[in-house]
This record gives sequence, structure tokens and C-alpha cells, in this order.
Amino acid sequence: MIGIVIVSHSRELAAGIQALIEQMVSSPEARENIAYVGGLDDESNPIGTDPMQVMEAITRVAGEEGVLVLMDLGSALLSAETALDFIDPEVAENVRLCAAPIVEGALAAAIQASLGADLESVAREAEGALAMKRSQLGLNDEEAAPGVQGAPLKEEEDGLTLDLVITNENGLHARPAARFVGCAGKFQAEIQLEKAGKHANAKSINQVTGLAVKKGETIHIIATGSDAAEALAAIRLLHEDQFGEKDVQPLQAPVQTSPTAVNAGGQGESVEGILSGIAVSPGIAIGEAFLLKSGPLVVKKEKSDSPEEELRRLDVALREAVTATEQEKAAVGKSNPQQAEIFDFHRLLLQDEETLEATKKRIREESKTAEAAWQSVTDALVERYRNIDDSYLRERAADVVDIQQKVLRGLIGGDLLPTELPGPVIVIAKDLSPGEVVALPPETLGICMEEGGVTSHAAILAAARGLPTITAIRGLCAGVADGQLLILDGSTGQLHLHPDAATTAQYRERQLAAEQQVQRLRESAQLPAITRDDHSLRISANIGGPQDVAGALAGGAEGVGLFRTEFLFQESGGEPDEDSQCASYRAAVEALAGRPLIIRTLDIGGDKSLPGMSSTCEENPFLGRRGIRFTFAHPEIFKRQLRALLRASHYGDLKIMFPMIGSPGEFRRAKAMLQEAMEELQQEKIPCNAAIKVGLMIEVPSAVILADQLAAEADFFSIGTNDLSQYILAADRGNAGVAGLITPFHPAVLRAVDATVKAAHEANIHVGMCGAFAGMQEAAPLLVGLGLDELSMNTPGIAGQKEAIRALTLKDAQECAGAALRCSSAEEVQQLLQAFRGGLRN
Amino acid sequence: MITEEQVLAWLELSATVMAENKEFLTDLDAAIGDADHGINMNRGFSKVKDKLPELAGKDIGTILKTTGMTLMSSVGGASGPLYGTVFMKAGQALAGKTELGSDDLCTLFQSGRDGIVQRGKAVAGDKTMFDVWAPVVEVADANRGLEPLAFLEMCVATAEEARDATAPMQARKGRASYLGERSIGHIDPGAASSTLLLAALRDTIKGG
Ligand SMILES: Nc1ncnc2c1ncn2[C@@H]1O[C@H](COP(=O)(O)OP(=O)(O)OP(=O)(O)O)[C@@H](O)[C@H]1O
Ligand SMILES: [Mg+2]
Repeated sequence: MIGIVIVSHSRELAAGIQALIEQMVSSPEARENIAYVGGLDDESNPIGTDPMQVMEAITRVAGEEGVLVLMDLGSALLSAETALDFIDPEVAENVRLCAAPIVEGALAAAIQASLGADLESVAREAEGALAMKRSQLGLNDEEAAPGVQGAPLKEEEDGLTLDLVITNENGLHARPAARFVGCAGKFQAEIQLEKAGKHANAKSINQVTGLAVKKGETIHIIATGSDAAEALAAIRLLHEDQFGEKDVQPLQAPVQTSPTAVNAGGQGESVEGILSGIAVSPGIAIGEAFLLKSGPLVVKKEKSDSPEEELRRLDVALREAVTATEQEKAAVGKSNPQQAEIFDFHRLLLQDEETLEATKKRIREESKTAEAAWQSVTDALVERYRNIDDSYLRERAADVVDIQQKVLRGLIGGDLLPTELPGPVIVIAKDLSPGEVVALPPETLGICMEEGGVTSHAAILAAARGLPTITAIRGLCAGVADGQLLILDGSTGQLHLHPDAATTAQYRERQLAAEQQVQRLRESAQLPAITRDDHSLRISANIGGPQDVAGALAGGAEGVGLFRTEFLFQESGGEPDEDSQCASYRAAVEALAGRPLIIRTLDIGGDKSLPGMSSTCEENPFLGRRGIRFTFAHPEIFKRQLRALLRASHYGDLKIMFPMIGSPGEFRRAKAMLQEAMEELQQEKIPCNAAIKVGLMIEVPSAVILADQLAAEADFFSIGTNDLSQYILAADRGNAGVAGLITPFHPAVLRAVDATVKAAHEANIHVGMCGAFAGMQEAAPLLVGLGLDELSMNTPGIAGQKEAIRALTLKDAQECAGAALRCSSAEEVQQLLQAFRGGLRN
Repeated sequence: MITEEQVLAWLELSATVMAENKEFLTDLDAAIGDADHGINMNRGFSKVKDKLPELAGKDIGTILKTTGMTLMSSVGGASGPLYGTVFMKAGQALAGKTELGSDDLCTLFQSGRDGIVQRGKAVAGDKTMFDVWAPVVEVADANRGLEPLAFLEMCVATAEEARDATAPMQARKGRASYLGERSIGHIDPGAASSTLLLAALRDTIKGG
């Protein structure tokens, strides 16, 4: 444990700080490691500092792990510095004088130290103490700076900050907010969020959603604490990934924008026999009405004289609700991992400290029953959501009601939903919670709700289940009788109450046509990418984890060309151990059922860092220790990953790919480490594929230049166009001033691709491309013409790219690519492609 | 030449001067600080005075170093580490000496000034004792050739001028810095005590 010395002019102040610390730090060992120096031995003038006392104190608490000194002001600083001059230099080397404000800093430091943190972290924690206070008071840096020039406060550290512009379609709404809170929660650091002067604790879902951050708005994040840097790095990465919504349909039920649908919202029966609402999930349902009477549960017992018992009941009910939420998530997650995250939001609501504390307080102080306390607290929360100035977030109120009811059900019983329906029916309800939508039996044909909006989670989940749905139908429950035949048009938002035979026939036809169209699309996604003259390419998906495989296959992927392992590391808050890595790789390769899977080893560095891993600040991170260079510098991490990969290789067609290789020597070195890992496993009698295929990313210009040499040693290449372009064009992706120069359409990049493909084919090895370029439909003639064997891209682009390829002939594409190689600028190449497309159309 | 006994006498006189000027220095500090500089200096030098009997017969380096150590652990304010360092540095620079010429005094002032910078990171115009020591060192350096007494007269005159020149400055170090502009118009207490020390040295030599 590190030692701490508190130096004050005043004995009373030192004693006061001691009292504050001892309230929070009770371990005798931790207390013993803190020394308090205050005042002078002069009865009449006791205020002052004495370097000798400071020296003694430091010596007293000094151990192997060093000493942190906190001082109040003026001579306390000079005395501490003087003391260091007198101390054994070996001890002095490990003494840090800390610029933190003494009271806040001392408290933060004492707590950190008692947790066993090292000197560096304790110092950072202490120095960050001021930031919390500032943000609490809502001061920004300028205002908080002391008015007096040169006063010591100026030099205080402030915690780390990060500004992010939110680009998510619906802003930082429930799902991304849940992701955000989940990520923040993995770190020790205090993380505050600020938007336009409003503050939120990043670890509280209610506070974060309460900020109502919309698309295009900027959030200011302040992190203080030992792992603040890592936390911000993880958040930055999450933000780049649009909090899990990148490449994903915006979180919105597929809303029909036809004027009827929108205008009809809530208009009720304006046309004879037709009720109108908001179309939130398309499709046609024809069937009988089933009226669901789900009213909120009524709390009957308000008071209890055994708060202990009530707290226990609350605890049980909450835990059950969390479990139920997780089950619902798992049920939805299989088919739709994106939608499943709504339940993460629910889980966070259920685990929100603020709500929990408020409930417990009412049980303890107002002798309320668990159900009464829970209801009143969550009612207030519902109210809060309803008053948020953002229609999207207002609709989150339904989610709060959902968890409220879920817990109440646990507390006072009562099942809301029938587990069985009388047959295929259209469910009619006042309002459905997301949980109820998921729990609707499979006989459900469609849903109509009297309440709800466009983007309520219930609507989203209905869409995810493929159930035609209309919400906000005024007069619905009063206007529809059980068993009545209905036609629900989820595209227009119309509900036909008494359809005649002709209307029904017409809708049946449309229903059929729609089904066929969906089917056609789905089928075409699975069609191979073969040109009209029979040249075929493999189209694969880029994924971030095994959970993405199912979606990729459904979207038409024939394998995985790039599994980015960074996310596994990021999500585990550092490095997942060998077993859990192996489990993820194995899950992916098994889910692919024999289709090829290329896994890239950890590609950290550049703009990506690893939580928990202190990243050294580099002047030019993209030219720094990234990719394979990082793993060479951390052989233990690399080794564990290689072992996990090899172990998983036993279960399918798994290939390993190294990032950022710049020379055959580096490739050999990586392969040697792989060999070593393999020998270890063989000795441990753990099965692995001894003939595993090993390749590399071509993304460094030197690798292009030596591609022939690399091809002689590698089993495959995969061209990473994003980095290759920035390196060839010597422009930093992260520098807005030059990022515009970067384009894969530049003939220099195309020539690099050309050279790489030729070198690969000369050596008879497979060459793919996994950068963004591979998914660009307008680039299809170049990609085909340059001779790439495989294109790997994000899932949503697959079907389209396949279609684009099917429209080409290899011969035309080769001519087009040949011409592009002779161009002298990206613009010329684009013009060429445009002309080519024109030719295709005619 | 200044003898070892004269150095002891200087320190003894300094103790007397600090006691006599306790109010004066404290009043200066009351205007722009925490009203303790006189108390601090008096406490420190009375401790030094107690030590003097033990120091008889020791070389001047040792005497100065011991003085520094004593001040360091007894003054109690910023001036403790500052003057402590001044005397320690000077003691190191003059180790083994039994008498001092003007050259040596020059060394004493230089190492003293360097000690202040090392400890307090003060620069010219910060309104600290440095603003006295810096010009004194310059004048001393230019007047090494003079006899000690004449040499010291020059130095004291410089110090007095420099002390008064701190009045219009705005403090950027120490307690006074918290006052900002309100520190303007008062002499810096540390500059005053430094001048007193120099004057005491001159008076010791003058008195024989
Ligand atoms: N950083 C510094 N560098 C040089 N001189 C300084 C510095 N800080 C203070 N001083 C000098 O010290 C004098 C004040 O000494 P004093 O003994 O009153 O300490 P203090 O300011 O009261 O210390 P404390 O910080 O404990 O209150 C100032 O007048 C100034 O000349
Ligand atoms: Mg003072």
C-alpha cells in the first residue's frame, strides 16, 4: 500500500482531514499509512509548516510503493520540497507531491490507496477530485479558474474530457444510451456527461436519457479517476460504432411515410368502417379480433410494519424481473440481436441506483409496502420521462411502465397476458409493453393499439417480429368487438372493421404479393455473385463477434472475411482471458457451419486503444505502435490470443490474419509465435488445426511493394483499403484538414491493389479485400476487373453488391479497371465509372 | 577580511535585529500576507542564537550550514525553507573557510540567490526576497575589488533600494499573490528581512 502525507499549516485542519478520511477508510493498515503534519510547536503562533516534520512523516509511511504528499498552500509546498532534499534519494524518488486541492484530494487519495491502487493511480484520482466538484457546481473551466493570476489552483488537473457529436438517428435514445451506460459502468472512473449546461452521471440510465440528446448535438464527457483514459477510449470507440447502431437500420419501426398513415394518426373512424392510426410495422393481417384487457395492477396494501421484510420482497421481485428481462432478451436476441438491446435498457432501469435508493427510502422512512413504494417511485419516473422535451424519449415512459408492472406482478401477482390465443388473431389492446409484445403467442397475426407512438419499443419489437402493427388508433377498444373479422394494413395504418368480400379478396392478393416480394429479396441475397460470363467472387461479411454471424448469413454472406477482435477486447473492458476468447471464436466458426472465417488478430493502436492498457501518447499514432507492432510489444496478450484462435481452429474453417505487416520478417516473426503457441498446445494435448491457413492484411505500402515476397510465405492476402489509402496518399484519416484527400478511387491505390492481386495470383494464393471499398457498389467493375477473389463487407451491403456484380461481365470489368489504372486522378476514375454505368444501362 | 568570529557576531546581531523588527516585519506581512513574517524570523533567529555557542571554533561553512538547518526547521513559514536554503547553499559554497574576503561574500550572495530560485522558483518582479538578492548579487559581482566594508555598503544601499522597489510590484508568489492587485503599494516583507540581514552584516563589520 502506498503512504500518504497530509501537510497543512493548521493542526486543526490536518486533524479535520483525518476525521473525514477515517469516516471512510476503516482498515487499520490503511489508516496507519497516512501521516498528518499540521502546524508548529509554538503555542502562541501555531500556524506554519516545518520541513523536518514533513520529512519525518514521509519516512514514517514510506514503503516500496511510494508516498503521495498533499499540501495546503504556500510554505507547505516549499517545506515538502525541502523535505525531499533531505530524504534518502531512493525513497525520494518514489515520493510524489500532488497538486490536488487538499481536502478533496486527500479523501480521494486515501480511498484509492486503501483499495490498493498504485502511486500513479492514486495521484491521478486525487488530482481529478476538483473536476467532480466543478461539474457538480456546473462550472466550466474558465469560470472555475481562480480569479487571481498565478494562484496555485490554475495548475490543478481537471480530469479528462471528450466531446462527441451524436450521429445516431434518434439521438442518444434508450438503446444507445444503454450501451453507453453499460460501457461507462465497466470503469472505476467518475464519468459525467454534459449537454448545454445540464449534467448527468454516465452510469445512470435515467440521467443519461434525461439529457434527451438529439442527433447532431454535442455531449461533453468528463472522466476522472485512474482508468479515466481507458474509459474515454472505450466510449470513443463505442461512439465510432454509433453505440452499436452503425450499419443498422435506425432504431425506428419501419414507418410508412405515406400521407394517409401519418395524417391518419389518432383520427379514428373518419371513413365509414375504417379506423386509422399510425402505421408502425408494415404488412397485412386478416383475421379475428382478440381484445386484450391488460389494465395496470392495483396496489391495495399501502403500509407495512416490517420494513426488513418489505426490503427483502423488493429485492426478490427486482431480481426476478431482471431474470425475466434477460430471458426476454435471449428470446428476441436469437433472431434479432439489435432489438434485443431494448431489454438492456430495461435491465438498467431495473438496476438504477437512484430508483432503488428512493424506493428503499420510502419503505424505511414511510413504512410503505414494497409495491406501494415501488409504484410511487416509478410513477414519478414515468412522469419525468413523459415530460422530456423529445418525442422519442417521451415514449420511453412505456418502458418504465413495463418494468414497473413487471416488478409489481412479482410483488402482488397477476398475469397480464394469456399464454394461449383462441387461434390466429389480431390482438387489440389499449397499450402493450415491450415485454408483452415479445410474450405474445405465435398465433398473433398483427397488433392494434389505442395508444403508443411511432417509435415505442413495443412498436419496434412488433416490427422485429414481423407483425403488422398500427398504434394510436383512437376509439379502438370501444369500436372493436371480440371475434370480429378485421383487416389490418400495417403499411397505411388502416384497420378495416367490416370488410366486404371484394375488399378481403383484394387484400389477400396484396398480402400474397408482398410476401412474394420479401421472399424474392431474401432469395436474391442468397444468390452467388457470378458475372454474366460466369466469373464468381466470394462475398463475405465483416463482423465484430459471433453474435453477428446469423445476421450475416441471413444477409447473404458466404463466409466471414474479417472478424475484428478489437470489440471482444473492448467489451470485456480489457483483455478477455484465453477461454472466453476461444469460446467466442469457436462460437463464430461453428455458427458458420463449415464456411470460411478469417479472424484478424488484435489491431489496436492508431485511434483505437485498449481499456485498462495505458496507451503511450504518440505523436503520430497511425504511424506508431499499432496492429502487429502493438502485439509484438505485448507478447503475452498476443500469445493468449493465438492460443485461443488455434484452439477454436479445431472446430471449423478458421484462418488467422495479421494486421499492419510491413515486411516478410514481421510476418515470419508472427508466424513463429503462432508456431510456438501451437507447440505448446500440442504438448498440452489440446487439439488444434495444425494446417491452419495464415495470411495478412495488405495495408502498409511496403507490403504492397514486397507483395511477391510476402505471397511466397502467406496462404492469403486481404487488402485493407482504408489504411492502405491513407498511407499511400500520406493523409491522416483523423485529420479533417487532409482526410478529404483519401479515396480508394485514386489510381495510385488502384495500382497498389492491382500489384497485390497480381503478386498473389502469381503465387497461387487467394486475395480478398475487406475495406469499405469492397462494399461500394459503384466500385464493383473495378473490384471484379482487378481480379479480387473475395470481397468482405458489412452485412447490409451484401445483397446489393452481389446484385451489382451479377449485372457485369468480367470482360467489361477488366477493360474498365484497365482504363482506371491509366487515369491520373480519382475524379477521372469516377467519371470513367459513371460512363461505364451509363453503358450498362443502355 | 571577515573572520569566523565576525560571522558568529553577525548571526547574533541578526537575532537581535529580528527581535527588534518583529513588529515591523509582521506589520509589513499583515498588509499583504498572513501577519507572521516577523514572528517567523524572530523564532528562527532566536533558535540560531541558541546554537551559536556550539559553533564557536567551527569553519564558516559549517556555521552557515547549521544556521540554514536551524532556520529551516524553526521559522515555520515560506521564509523557513527559503532562508534555510540560502544559508545551506552558502555554507556548502564556503565549506572549510575560516575567513571571508569580498570575493567570498560575492559567492555567499550568489549561492544564496540561487537557493531562493531553486526553492521558490521566483523570478524578477514576483515581489519576493529574490527581488533584493538579485540586484545585490549583480552589484557585488561588479565590486569584488572593494574592501569588505565598502563592498557591503554598496550592497546594503542596493538592497534598500531594491526593497523599496518591491512596493509597486504585484505579488505573484507566496501568500501575497492571493491578493492580486491589492498587493501593490506595500513592500514585500521578505525583501525587508533580507535587507535587514545584509545591514546587520555591514554593521557587524563596521563595529569592528
Ligand atoms: N515562492 C517564493 N519564492 C521566493 N520568495 C518567496 C516565495 N514565497 C514567499 N516568499 C517570500 O517569503 C516571504 C513571506 O515569508 P513568511 O515567513 O511570512 O511566509 P508565509 O508567506 O507566511 O508562508 P506561508 O505560506 O506558510 O503562509 C514573502 O514576503 C516573500 O519574500
Ligand atoms: Mg507570512
